[in-house]
Amino acid sequence: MSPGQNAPDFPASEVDLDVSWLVPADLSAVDALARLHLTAARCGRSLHLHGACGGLSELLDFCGLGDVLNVCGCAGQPARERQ
Amino acid sequence: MSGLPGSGAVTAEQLEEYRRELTGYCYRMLGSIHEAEDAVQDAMLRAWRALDRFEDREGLRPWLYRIATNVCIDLSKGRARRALPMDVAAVQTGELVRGDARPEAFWVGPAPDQMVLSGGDPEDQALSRESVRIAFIAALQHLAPRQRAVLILRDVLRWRAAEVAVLLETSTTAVNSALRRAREAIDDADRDLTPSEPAADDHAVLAAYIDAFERDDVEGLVALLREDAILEMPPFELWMRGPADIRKWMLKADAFGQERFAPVGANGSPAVAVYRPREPGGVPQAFSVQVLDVVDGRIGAIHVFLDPTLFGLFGLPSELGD
Repeated sequence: MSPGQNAPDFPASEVDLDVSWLVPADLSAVDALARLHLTAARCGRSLHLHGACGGLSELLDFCGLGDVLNVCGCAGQPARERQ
Repeated sequence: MSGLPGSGAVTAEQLEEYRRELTGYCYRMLGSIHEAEDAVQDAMLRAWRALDRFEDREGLRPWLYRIATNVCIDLSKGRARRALPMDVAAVQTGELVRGDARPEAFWVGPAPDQMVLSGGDPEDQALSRESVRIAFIAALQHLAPRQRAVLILRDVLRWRAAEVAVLLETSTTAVNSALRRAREAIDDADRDLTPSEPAADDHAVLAAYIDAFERDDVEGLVALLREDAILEMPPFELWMRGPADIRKWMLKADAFGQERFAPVGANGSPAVAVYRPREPGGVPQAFSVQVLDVVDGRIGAIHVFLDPTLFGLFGLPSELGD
């Protein structure tokens, strides 16, 4: 997992994770991302998921985690609007 | 069929033992028995193909549930959640116009008991019946995101409550109560229509309901209704509340005296499959499956599903011969 090339600049306390490679998005992916988020939170960091494609955003919404994990859309797309 | 090489002792028969409970689980996730059947078939196939990667560490059951959850998620992507008419339309009064039908994929549908109810002791059976009631299924489709997250993290992904609490930036107490709140949300949707236990008189109420139709006795039918009883009939958005409007609709629909009835079990509730001829004197054709919510010996809701494709799932023919 490497930082996304097109990632916006974040302060050192924030971690940007490129998840565009994460296909197919399934429950294992949700589990892994939620655990990364948990680890980051325990380290006092804020995790941003960048480049969510292939239904990952929908999947996180279905699981009720769309507003919990910080998800930005595919490259070139603006960050997903929250309801 | 025996186990695959490298798959340990797991056999096709062992996978099949989970089919009914997985069908119930997928039905609760998806709100459609047709989709649930497809989902379980897909999950079984995926499980069978992946048996060589199955590790006994977590057990067969959680592994199958995880696969089934993924299948349900795939099926749900990019699609609105299913609902009941009373979730999406205002209660109708006055003229009671049926309106246009919406596609099948729009609605929560019924499920035959034999496909979704688990066995076990009486307490397990009661819980199993509760968990497939029509109102419960509809409420599950519309749980608040946080409640859904807690359910998936705790029950499917097996996270500890403390871990869920950190992720959701809340307390362990709040996580635990979210499960209870999910149940309360479901109870609210249920409008106090869930009986405390399946009563023997459920079948007597169903028999009286059918008898009223057969005897062309609309007043007898209305006498079986609670004051807050509802009648809904997907695929139409129309729904009504109260004996007066239900009586008006029954008279308008002119159903009495024409229909034939086959009692069935659906959604842990008394139910009946209804046949109706296309013209007077014609062959009775599969017409609707009606599921009743019975509370304390009275009918609290009549869910009429106008979907002849359901009859096959109940083992019933599509038309009645002589």
